[in-house]
Amino acid sequence: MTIKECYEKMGADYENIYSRLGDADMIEYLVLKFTKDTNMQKLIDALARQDYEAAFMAVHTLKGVVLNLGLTQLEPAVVAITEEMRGGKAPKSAELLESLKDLYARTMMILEDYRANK
Amino acid sequence: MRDKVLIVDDEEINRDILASILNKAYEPVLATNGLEALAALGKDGNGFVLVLLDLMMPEMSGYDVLEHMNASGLIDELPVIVISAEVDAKTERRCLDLKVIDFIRKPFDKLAVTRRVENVINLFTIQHNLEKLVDAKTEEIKKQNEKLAQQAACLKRTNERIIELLGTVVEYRNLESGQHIKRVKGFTRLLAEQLAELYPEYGLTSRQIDIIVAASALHDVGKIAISDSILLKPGRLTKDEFELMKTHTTEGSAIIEHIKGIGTDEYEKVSYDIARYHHERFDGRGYPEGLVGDEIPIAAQIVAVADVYDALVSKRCYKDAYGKGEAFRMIMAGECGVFSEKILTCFAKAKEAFEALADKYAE
Repeated sequence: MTIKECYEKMGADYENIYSRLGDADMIEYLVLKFTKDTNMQKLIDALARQDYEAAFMAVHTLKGVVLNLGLTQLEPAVVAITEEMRGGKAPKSAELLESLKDLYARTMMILEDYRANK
Repeated sequence: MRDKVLIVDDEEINRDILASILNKAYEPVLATNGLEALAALGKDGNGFVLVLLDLMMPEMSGYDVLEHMNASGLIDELPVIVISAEVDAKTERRCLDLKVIDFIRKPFDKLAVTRRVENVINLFTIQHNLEKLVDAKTEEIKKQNEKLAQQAACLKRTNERIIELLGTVVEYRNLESGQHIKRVKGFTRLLAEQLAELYPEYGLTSRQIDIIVAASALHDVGKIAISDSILLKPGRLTKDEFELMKTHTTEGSAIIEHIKGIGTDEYEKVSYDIARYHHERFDGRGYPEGLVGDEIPIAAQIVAVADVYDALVSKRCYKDAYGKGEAFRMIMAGECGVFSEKILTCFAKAKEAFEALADKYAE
């Protein structure tokens, strides 16, 4: 599997990132780093202890990474949650977060799989 | 050597992307929060040419970094580009107030990042070099001005020497003693200082006294125009000869008018007055114009006494020297020129100083 195919499998927009960075090896290196990213866990932990400042910081950073990596499948959910929580507010509903968690888990699985088989 | 660029972002992936984009042209240095950034920059920017700064970071935010850089003035030396996922109008204004120079949005685009970084660094370098150039030029001009001032001072000294020399030429031509001008200058100073002390109404400042003393050297410059047969004649002059001799006053002032530009305007005015009017008498019976009382410029009144006193105590081709006591008596009695009460009061007060000076510069 190529990194392009991996992007397609995730439902992400490879053209989006390739047009910006223009280097497949670099993209592979960066996106595999994402499997070690802690922002999603930080978001979940912060929400559990109702620390909405920390939660916003985490989701905001996650959004930046998602945009940079062109992980467009995560973009609508992560952008929506970031906007809901801007200024340290609690998220309006649990549904968005659950949907983000699912998409995120699936993304991680595909990336781990790609790493294992490349 | 590549220029150093500081990348400040709490997210490793973002730092890696920027570092990989800038790696070729610059040396990227990474910081994960504001505290690390400030440590890397130190007080003077530590040789960095640019900072790429995220706003939302733990430990210390990008705003805090900007506040510090503004407080220390580093922001004027080192350009900062803010990197952020979204920059609303309010954020943008706040950043611009803190002298942020440009923004790079997430997601990062290689071309956009490269160009913006290049542009900012080039513009800043040009501006910085221009400022340095202006500073260097300013310094150069300052130095040139100092040199000019030194040259002007040197020229002034040279002029003073030339003027003195001119007086000395007259002195030798005149076959008077080599010390005559020195003594006249000394007597002039004694009298002028006494006058300044006793009669403030003349408004003599120490600067004016210096000018009068220097100008007194030229009192007889007009004697250059008098023929030897008169100037060096032993014994009394005939009436016609004396009339010619008297013209040394007007000739002197004419010469001084001709050498205009050699000193200050004030100096020229005083020299002119002294050369022209040092044979006027307070009762109006002197020459060349017959000025009366304080119509006679005070500088000329002072030098007149100094000149007469020196003539009396010195041996001349037409006379022997008088004793100092006799010379004093003759001037006070009005036997040698007529002077104002005030001048005579000063002369009387300075009697001993005059005599000491006459002895000091005796032949």
